[in-house]
Amino acid sequence: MSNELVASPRLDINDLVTAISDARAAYQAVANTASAPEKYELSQKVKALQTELRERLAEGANPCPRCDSPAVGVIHETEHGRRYEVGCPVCSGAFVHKDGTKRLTRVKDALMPKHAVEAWNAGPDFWMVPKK
Amino acid sequence: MATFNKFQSFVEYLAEGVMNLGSDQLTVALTASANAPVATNTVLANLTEVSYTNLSSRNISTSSSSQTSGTYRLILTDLVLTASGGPVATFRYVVIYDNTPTSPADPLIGWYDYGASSLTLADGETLTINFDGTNGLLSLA
Repeated sequence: MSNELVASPRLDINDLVTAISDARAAYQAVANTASAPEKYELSQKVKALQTELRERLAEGANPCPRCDSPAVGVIHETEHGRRYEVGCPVCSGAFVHKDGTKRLTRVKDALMPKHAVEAWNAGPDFWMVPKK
Repeated sequence: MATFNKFQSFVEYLAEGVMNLGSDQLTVALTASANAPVATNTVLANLTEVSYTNLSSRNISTSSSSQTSGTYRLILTDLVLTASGGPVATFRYVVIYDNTPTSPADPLIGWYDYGASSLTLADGETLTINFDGTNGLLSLA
């Protein structure tokens, strides 16, 4: 018998989205009947997949320059297709950038995850301006 | 940007394990100007919803439910509501509730007020509900 460890194949983003949806459905199907430990185990599967997705979307992103927290990624299903966001999960609200404009600690509406990461890494010049 | 308001009972439901914000199905409900939510509402049954004829799915996708350095943040994916096959009834308030628990059924979380002019979606029109991305719908510190 081989003791060789076999790594699980890395899921692509679409597969991760589907896996999260399936895991959440599995949890929700028994959320009102399962025991607390059973529910916890199922919700942890959801959490692990969500963590993997948000880290995958932010792969290559620098830590937040304001608080040093790891950046996270988000997918938005818009009327124009999928758009990607990368930002800090800790910093909240707007800050005043050196150019005098207010900025949020995130980049949004990128066509690809790597575009969001690139704009994030380029710094606040390319970060979101809050809506008035 | 629409103001987000919290239902008072939400914090108690959260503290007592009624909701799992990371895994439960969070959903949007719409109410008209004449049926404003109040902070003391507790469950969806307390509200009068508009008709959802011609409206796309109101289910929200949860992107992240986790803490960093002791601050928890609930990050939701923006939701696009689309009118298809006809208009959607006029609404002013967008309510977020937890559609998974059955006891209590559909506990409330918070609501957005889109202002006195209300909103109507004609056939083909959309409304994007921006849950503030990585800034999070809500945080607990």
